[in-house]
Amino acid sequence: MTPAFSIERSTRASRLTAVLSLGVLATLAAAPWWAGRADIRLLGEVYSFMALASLWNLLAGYTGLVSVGQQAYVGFGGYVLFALAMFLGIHPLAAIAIAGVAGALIAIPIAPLLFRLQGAYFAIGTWVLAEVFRLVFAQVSSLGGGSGASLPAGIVTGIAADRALREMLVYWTALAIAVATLAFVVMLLRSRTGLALTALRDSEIASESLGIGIWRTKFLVYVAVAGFTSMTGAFIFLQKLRISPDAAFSVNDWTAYVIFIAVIGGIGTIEGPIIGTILFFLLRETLADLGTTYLMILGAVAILVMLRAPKGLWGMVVERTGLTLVPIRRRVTFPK
Amino acid sequence: MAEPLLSVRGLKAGYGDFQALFGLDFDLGEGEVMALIGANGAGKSTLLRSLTGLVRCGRDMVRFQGEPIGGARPDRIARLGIGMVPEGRRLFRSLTVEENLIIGGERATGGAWTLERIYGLFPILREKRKNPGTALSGGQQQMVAIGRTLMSNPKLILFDEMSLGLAPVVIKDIYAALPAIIGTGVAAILVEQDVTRALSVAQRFVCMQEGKVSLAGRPAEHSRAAITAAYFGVAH
Amino acid sequence: MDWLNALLQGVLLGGLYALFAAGLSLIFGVMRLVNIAHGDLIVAAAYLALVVVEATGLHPLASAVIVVPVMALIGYGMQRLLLNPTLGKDLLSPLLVTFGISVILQNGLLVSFTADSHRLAAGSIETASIEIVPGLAIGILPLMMFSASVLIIWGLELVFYRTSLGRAFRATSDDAEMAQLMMLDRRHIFGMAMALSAAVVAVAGIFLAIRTNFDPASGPARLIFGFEAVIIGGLGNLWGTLAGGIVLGVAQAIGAQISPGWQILAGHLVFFLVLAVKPRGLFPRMD
Repeated sequence: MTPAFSIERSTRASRLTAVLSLGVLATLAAAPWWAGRADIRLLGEVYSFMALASLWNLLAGYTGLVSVGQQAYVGFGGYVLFALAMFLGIHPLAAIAIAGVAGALIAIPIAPLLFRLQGAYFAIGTWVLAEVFRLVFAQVSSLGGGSGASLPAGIVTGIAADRALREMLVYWTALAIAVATLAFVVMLLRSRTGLALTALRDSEIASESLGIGIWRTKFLVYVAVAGFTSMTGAFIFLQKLRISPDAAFSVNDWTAYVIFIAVIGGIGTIEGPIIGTILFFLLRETLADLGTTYLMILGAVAILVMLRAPKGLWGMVVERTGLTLVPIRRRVTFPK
Repeated sequence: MAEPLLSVRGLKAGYGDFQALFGLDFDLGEGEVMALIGANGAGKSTLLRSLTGLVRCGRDMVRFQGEPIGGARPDRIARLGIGMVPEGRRLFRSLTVEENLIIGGERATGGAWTLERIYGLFPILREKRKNPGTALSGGQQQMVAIGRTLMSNPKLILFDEMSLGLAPVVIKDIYAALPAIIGTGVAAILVEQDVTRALSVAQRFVCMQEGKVSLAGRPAEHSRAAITAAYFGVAH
Repeated sequence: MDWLNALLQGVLLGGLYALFAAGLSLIFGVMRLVNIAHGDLIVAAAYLALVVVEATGLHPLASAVIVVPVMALIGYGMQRLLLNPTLGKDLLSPLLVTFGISVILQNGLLVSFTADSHRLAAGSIETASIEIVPGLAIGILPLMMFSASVLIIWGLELVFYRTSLGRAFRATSDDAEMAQLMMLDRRHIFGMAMALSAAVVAVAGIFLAIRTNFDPASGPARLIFGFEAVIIGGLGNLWGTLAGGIVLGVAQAIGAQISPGWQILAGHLVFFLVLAVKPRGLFPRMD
């Protein structure tokens, strides 16, 4: 007897995606052999933003925690890396991993405090937190105080003596962080917690009656995102080799751009932040000469997308074609 | 024949992907009282919400005084003269009793119902006028909700589950005030669980089942058994 | 005496913070919207005052006759064109639209006025002061600003609890659907709430411009101070917000006495302390 229907998660498109992404991944991993030095650097930056945008999207698009203060963890991660490398002599690449753990740990006491803020006030609360971090690190004179610090040359050459090898290692680290972040987001959303999150997004009352611990779920996601964000931040400032409170805790660099990426790509989708990042860098490479005007264009585009196509570019594609590249939900199919 | 006050033709409506009304037709004349009956989930509330504009529907599906109002904004429909006494009263909790009444009338064009007249109809409200609306008993809250709607001097009032959750003696008091309200010539649609009570004050009734009209007419024209069958969907 | 003086300055500064907060609190109360561009609107109002003063030669305080109505109009237009279409869907859309407005305002001001900081000169009134006891003086201008803030908050309370518009605000906040059935067009009501908020923002902007240097990037800090005053004072209570502003002002003044780097930080820490100990604020509204 043939069953009346079957439940599956993968689709033909998603299986194709899996094969294709492996190919893309292999090509990107080989970039040091086919791309120039400046391109490698740019790619490292692209990966950081992809990670930051996916993490922000997980918070805002799935968990309902709209943060405008993720720069707190970006900067925190950066400073932890500098402190570990400069004061304890820890290898920078190891320091990136430790910075991730430190970011998650510091988020544990912070989350309950911020969760006390109602609805949209949570967003501004996260911003205050980032300001506190900025002001505190500006007081730490051993890390350069308000004017910041540069990573000593000895530490940089300590990564690997050969410059080409060093740049390769740093590049692969960036790629690894982006892949790990995306894998984390996809796996989380496919887990029980992820299904709870989707229920939570669709109706808070419904998920409450299902007995899902909303608070606990939000807490775990917030802490994990803080960890990954700190790790990404640590990488960003390893690549920059210089850190200062204003750069580390910049709302423009680490939140405004990231929100723009998620909004144009598509909030609440896995694919959105990836596509948004590519678009963002294309725009930046072509329009950045406009300077301030460029930022105004970004703001206007974001508003327009929110008003006209709140699901972003990817949401529009899905609506028109029903395409799913990274399957999260299981779907019921009936044999023809 | 004169144009009916309210004319519903082929009304379809729902929430998102869920359709609740599947082509409804009925008329209501000036000053007429109609009982709207049907089991839970038959679509009575959706019908009232479509008539007040809280649920979208096609423009020509609802006409009021000859004008198509389907899908118009709720505040515009209210301005034209359709008022609703909602299920569960829904008083404004940060407004006093008197403020609840005033807000009902202050944007209307005026008419027979004034604050004084409401206090005449429900004297207890005058005593409680400085209290927050939600500090009153259920029956008193229902009086405020009725008064609030009357203050706009509507031509048609929709009463949604007026006696839900009230003690029988309180329901009796509320219904005792009904003749004084209807006596002013206002038309009414009465949604009520207590079918017998609703039919006793109505000149006409519409019975709904699964989003359609299953029976309509004058209460006297149909046997109790026929109405019960239309209500529960039992075959004749 | 230094400490007493700092305390007094902190209290007076608190009035300005309450003014930053009042507009924010008002629109949150009416439509549960948090306007991330609030601080940038304050700074935009400061620039508008600068332009008006330079063009007309009016006294900065008198520029309010132009700045207040213009800002109110901008607020109304912004609400109806950009924010109303996003309301009722979810938390995210309106918040992100105000975030976009914030980015546009900051960079628009940067393009128009450069990053240089400005200040409005209010003349001899700036230095005038009354000596209460020897060594302890209150500046006339800070005192005037404080009194104006108290008056404006009192006025907002009057509007909220004694007028037809205020009834409409409260009714819409209680139950937006029922309010519509009471013939209230919520697009207009929300527009009016934003207009009123922007009018308060205008006054706050003028005071800010007289009190301190401002530049296009000054907005976020004003948003944060206003927000902290709201949360410290307790939601839904304008007098609580005034108290919250004063607590914040005093905390900053005391922080500044310890070390200049501690001024703003002390305010943030008091905010988090209140959040930890009294999450509903010091003076939550009695329900």
